[in-house]
Amino acid sequence: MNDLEKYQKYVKERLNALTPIFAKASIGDFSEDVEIPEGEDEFSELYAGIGIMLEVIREQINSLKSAKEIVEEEKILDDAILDSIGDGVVVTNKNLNITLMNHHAQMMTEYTDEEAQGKHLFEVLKAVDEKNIPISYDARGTEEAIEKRKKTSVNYFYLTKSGSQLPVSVTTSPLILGDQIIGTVVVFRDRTKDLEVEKMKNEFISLAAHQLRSPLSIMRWNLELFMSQNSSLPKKEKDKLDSVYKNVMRMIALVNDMLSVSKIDQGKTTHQIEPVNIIAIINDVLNEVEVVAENKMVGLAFNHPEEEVFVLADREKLPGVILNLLDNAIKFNTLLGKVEVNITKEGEDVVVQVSDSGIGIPPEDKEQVFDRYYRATNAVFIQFRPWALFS
Amino acid sequence: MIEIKTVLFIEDDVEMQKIYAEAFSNNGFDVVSASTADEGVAQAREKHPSLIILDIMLPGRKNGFDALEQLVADSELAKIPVLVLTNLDSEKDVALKIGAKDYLVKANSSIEQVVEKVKPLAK
Repeated sequence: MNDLEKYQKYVKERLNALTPIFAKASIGDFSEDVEIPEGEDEFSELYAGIGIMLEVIREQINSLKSAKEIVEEEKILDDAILDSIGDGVVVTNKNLNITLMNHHAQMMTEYTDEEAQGKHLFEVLKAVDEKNIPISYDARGTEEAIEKRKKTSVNYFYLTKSGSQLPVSVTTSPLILGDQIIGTVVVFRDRTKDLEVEKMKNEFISLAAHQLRSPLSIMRWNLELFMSQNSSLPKKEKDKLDSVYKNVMRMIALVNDMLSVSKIDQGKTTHQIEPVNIIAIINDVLNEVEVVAENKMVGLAFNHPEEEVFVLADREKLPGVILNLLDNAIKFNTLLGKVEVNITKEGEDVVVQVSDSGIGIPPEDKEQVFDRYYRATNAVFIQFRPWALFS
Repeated sequence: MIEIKTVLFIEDDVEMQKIYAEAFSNNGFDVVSASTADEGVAQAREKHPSLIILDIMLPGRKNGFDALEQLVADSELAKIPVLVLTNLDSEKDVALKIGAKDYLVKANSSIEQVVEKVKPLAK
């Protein structure tokens, strides 16, 4: 055997010694250590290098394993947190395809996570109104949440998988990573109990208000009969009776307001829309409030076009709206003040404007003017019907 | 000779009955009262009033609608106009559909308005 042959044999032996290590590595087992041969030659560095490489791989694997364990632990924790939330939570990607649904969302919608995965949000969470008419996409709050990058909250009903209605309060938030929207989180709460309580409350108010009307009617009619038969009473006594009558009428008005609010809350208010003569309606209401205005020495003015003006409205309910506005304009006015009603035509629209010389509504309070129990912060000294604008 | 018209009130509240009696007597009507639906229908058969004023919430198993249905179904009584006078304000459509001639909410009408409403109906 010459030197070359000896060397070839030596190389072969050195490489063969590595074969089991690579064989194991090829199947993902990097546990075998390289035994660095004694003495120094060309292979010492190779063996040492392979040893270091295996050590690095082992470390990497261990750190990956622990990272995976952490991720898994976190996922278990996240799932537990998500499932312990009493609200339904649905997460989507940016195309609104569902990527996650918590336990409550599955219970409420009757879809399993597997069934919902990958489906479009609107395919699983079908939003309808109480008459089962689908809610338009832009009214669901999802698009607004994405476009405006802000949280939206809307109430409507979801149609469950079996087709039953579920009243829900839905909050949609955009998922933002950096400056990119990567999806949405939809959180919804079952409003069944809320609606039941609301219904009971409205039924109680409605019943109480109807019951209150009977004694009030008796008081009203007895006073009317008494006053019509005793027209020559001394002024002092007549004034007292007038005051009682006025307050009975105020109570009747309060009860009527309570009933109106209760009807609106119960969704029992229906509108019969037809062309109505707005000038005639306002004139009738002005006649009705004339005495109150005179008592407070408030002047009434009505400016309107010469010709008749018709608007599409509910003939029964429009006077109430005008009355509430005029009533407040007079009540919150100053002595010798003025209330002005203006009707102007603006293209297809008719604008009815009621202005007064009274205390006005502070600008910061204007947004709340249609809130049920709203009263302007500067109105504390003045008597007020709390439901007055809520018609 | 002036013919005196009779008005039948089907109304369970005694205080209300007293007011009706006073207001309508003052306006030249004869007043008959009944407190229940059955009593009201019986009185209508017996007295043949010119007009019936009917409340909806009545004691017993029958309410004002039941009485109205019975009156409308009876060929003889069906001719008598019925004015529903109640404190419920959401039943107008139902009452008119069954056959009431008019509908007033007590608390929102003066006693004078009630009398004036009755006069043309009781012809």
